[in-house]
Amino acid sequence: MRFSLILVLIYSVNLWSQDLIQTEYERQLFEQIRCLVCQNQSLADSQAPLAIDLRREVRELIELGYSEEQIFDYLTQRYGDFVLYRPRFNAVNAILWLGPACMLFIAIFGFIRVTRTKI
Amino acid sequence: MISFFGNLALVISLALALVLSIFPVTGYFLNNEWKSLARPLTLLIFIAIAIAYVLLTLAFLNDEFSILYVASNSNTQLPLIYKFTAVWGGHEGSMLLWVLFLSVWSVALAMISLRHDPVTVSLSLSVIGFVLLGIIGFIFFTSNPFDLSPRIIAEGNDLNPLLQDPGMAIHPPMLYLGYVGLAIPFAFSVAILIQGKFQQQQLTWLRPWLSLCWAFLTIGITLGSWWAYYELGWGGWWFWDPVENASFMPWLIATALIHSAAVTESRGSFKSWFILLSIIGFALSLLGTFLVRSGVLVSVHAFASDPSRGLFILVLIGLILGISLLLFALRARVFTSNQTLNLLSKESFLLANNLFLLVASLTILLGTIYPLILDGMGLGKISVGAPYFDLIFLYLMIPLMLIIGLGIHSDWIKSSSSKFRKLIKVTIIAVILPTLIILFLDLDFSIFTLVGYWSFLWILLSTLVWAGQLFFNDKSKAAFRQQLPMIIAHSGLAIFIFGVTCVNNYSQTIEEVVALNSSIEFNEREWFFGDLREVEGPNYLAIEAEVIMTDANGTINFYPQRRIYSNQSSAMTEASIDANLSRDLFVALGDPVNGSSEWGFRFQYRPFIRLIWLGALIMAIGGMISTIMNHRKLRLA
Amino acid sequence: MIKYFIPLLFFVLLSFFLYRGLSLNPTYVPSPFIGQEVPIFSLPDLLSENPSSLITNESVINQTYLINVWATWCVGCRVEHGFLNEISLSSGLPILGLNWRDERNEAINWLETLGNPYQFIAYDQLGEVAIDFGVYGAPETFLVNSDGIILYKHISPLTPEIWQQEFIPRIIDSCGSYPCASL
Repeated sequence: MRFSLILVLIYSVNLWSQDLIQTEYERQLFEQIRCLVCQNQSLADSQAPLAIDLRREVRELIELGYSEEQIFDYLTQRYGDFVLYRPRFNAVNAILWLGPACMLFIAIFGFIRVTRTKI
Repeated sequence: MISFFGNLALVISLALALVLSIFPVTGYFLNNEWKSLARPLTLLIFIAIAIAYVLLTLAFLNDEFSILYVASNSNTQLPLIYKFTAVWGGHEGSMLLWVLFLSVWSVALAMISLRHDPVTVSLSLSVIGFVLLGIIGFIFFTSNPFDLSPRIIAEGNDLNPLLQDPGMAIHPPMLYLGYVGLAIPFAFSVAILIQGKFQQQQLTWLRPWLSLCWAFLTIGITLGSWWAYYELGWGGWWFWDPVENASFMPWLIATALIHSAAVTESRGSFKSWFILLSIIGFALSLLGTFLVRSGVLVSVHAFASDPSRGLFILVLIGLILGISLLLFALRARVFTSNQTLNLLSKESFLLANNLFLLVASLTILLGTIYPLILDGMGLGKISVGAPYFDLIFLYLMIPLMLIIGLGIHSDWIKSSSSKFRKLIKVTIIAVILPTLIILFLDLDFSIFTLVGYWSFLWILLSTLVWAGQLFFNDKSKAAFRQQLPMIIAHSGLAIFIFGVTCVNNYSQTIEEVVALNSSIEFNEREWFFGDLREVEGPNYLAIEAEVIMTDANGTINFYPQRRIYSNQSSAMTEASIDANLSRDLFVALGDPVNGSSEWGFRFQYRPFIRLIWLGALIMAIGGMISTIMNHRKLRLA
Repeated sequence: MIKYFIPLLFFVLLSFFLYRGLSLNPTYVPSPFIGQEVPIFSLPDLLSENPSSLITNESVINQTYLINVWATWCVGCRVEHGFLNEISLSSGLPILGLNWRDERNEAINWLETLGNPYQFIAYDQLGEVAIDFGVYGAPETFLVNSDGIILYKHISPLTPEIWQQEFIPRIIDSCGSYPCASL
């Protein structure tokens, strides 16, 4: 029966009941981590096996008392900066984080030059 | 057969586009009658491309699997309506749609506006001819939908199940209409640069085109967001995915463009701004096309990851934009006026508006291609995702919200400060009212929550106060009618902001394992997992759960599914949503736990999420009304 | 004036980066482990009944060797397996297999049917050690020198071309010759 085929396909995934996201803190943390298999999804949404494993790992780290920064360090040691959705602030990313502000200042500067209040 | 005639049609249109890109322009310089070739050529090109498109559609309807593109994107079991939409389901067909729409816009331009401004419009059509030449060439040589399959194929691959959906039916056409429509102001601006003359009256016939393409772009993006929300199963409405960004950037510029056009039409200034923004807008459109198809970025939307195609488009973009920007660099100074603006003038507010929108757009561009830049320089790989964009974009928009509310009330040349003093009452209400409501309802809040609601109410009240003034102070109500599209659009914006603030701050999501015939509590409602059954669709099989929700208002049933389409090997999730204006309730079915008596579910509560799309739609309606009103003005003139 | 050339210059710069982007692979995640020591790990031996028989990061010392991440559910591993069998004989390098998230009996059967190129096989049932190695897509192959430093990582099935271009030069650097003379 074709239906048993679907059942087999779905059941073979067999959810870890502990894999469900339990807290808002977890969700927000997972949303900042990129799934390396389904690279368009965060760890909060991806159902890839590696994502399931990584969620388990991160939960263990939370239990052990790791801070958010420490968890991110743990992940980047293994996967590089690619795994974080929020780019870290360092020399290489400076343009990324400061660029918008710079552009805004240039714009404001230009704006001030062009507008003069005629009294 | 179809393949042969399809290719023939493409070749003909290619040749005609070549003629169109050369002759009217040459006719302009030689001042001979070749200028008048523009309209007939434009029409002929449209006919040729339309024939090609119709042939491709027929190939889909007839399951013509000898054509590779049809075999890759369709299937005999595919429901009829989706055979129509599958035409644009893949890279080659979607490019054909793109070029069809460009041709449609150019015909409309030729039929409607040529008489108002023959020289400029002929030149513009010639510029469009150049673009058509490039894109048809791209299709014919690298991405030909009429290519034959190398072997006999009895049954096609099927359309990606994610695309078998009504939302997907209208989203690409709307989006493309908008994207492609930006070619009109672009072509106009290049024509202006060629001529070295720009009269503010010319914007009178151009403005309806601007607001129309802006409206389509708004609708297209909104549909994409709505579709992603219910189809992708995660409940998000915007992901800052590279392709979403690729559509949002032109929208920001198109918005700046409409506002800039208002200044140029009324006051004759901001001409070089207008030209620059037109070029940038279309540049971002083309860039968006490039990003999705070249394999340069990872995206959920990526069509073809083919660097050789990417190179073709890049060269094409390089030529089109390189030439236009060079022209701009050489000629734009002719159009600059060295007036200083008064700080409190409408021009000044609109200039600030332009600046914020441009900076926002460039920021999104920066974030989207930064990983690419670093990787190209060997500096490693990073990701730039929602956390970055959410933060930076929010900060950029906050001052803009303030400016919008003030700018609506400003006067040309100079406003008296007393005008703004009366807005103080509005400000006070806009700030105090939401704060009181939040405190009274004892809701959680952050500074961003408050800023969101203040922005909403500030823009809404400011707009309505202005509308009221026009309506009640003006006997003929002419000024009110003229400003009506603006009033509607800005109200739409306010509603949009309200929706976003509610969803971002008061959504609730949980994931739970629920056993069959048991219930859980979520969001002060009871959710009972009552039944699990098998369901058969036209081209899929599914497991469906029945979840009965009970709350103070009664009962609602939800039927989330896991579906497997005939040619897929993994199960997709089809969320079950109950929607009304005040909230969405969203249930998605996950995986079974230890057999099939317990399943993982995701439940979401999304307050006022419909207002996000409703607000955007209202903005688009404002754009449509503007188009109709301005067009009627033209015909009467 | 110069300022009107800014958009053009900006565009040229942008095109340059986009052009560079065409030759890059956006989904490829480079490994931060190049030049680093092999991560510490300790896993059961796939082939042994004895639960205290362990494979660790010290199972192979003072030799250049390969670590190959594989699984029976991994299609690419099937594809490269023949080649792995070859180089296990011809290269003079021991190969340590990391069996990732697999079913023990199935893995053993697989090797019995297709051949066993591995000197040691660590059984990573939960995938924890794979994460410690930054594995995200099997098959992956690491080249480790005699000091336990990871010299190179390749993702996707090994082919003769890759082996020739990327591995052999590094093996010669590390070992002094190819094939590597084993201790």
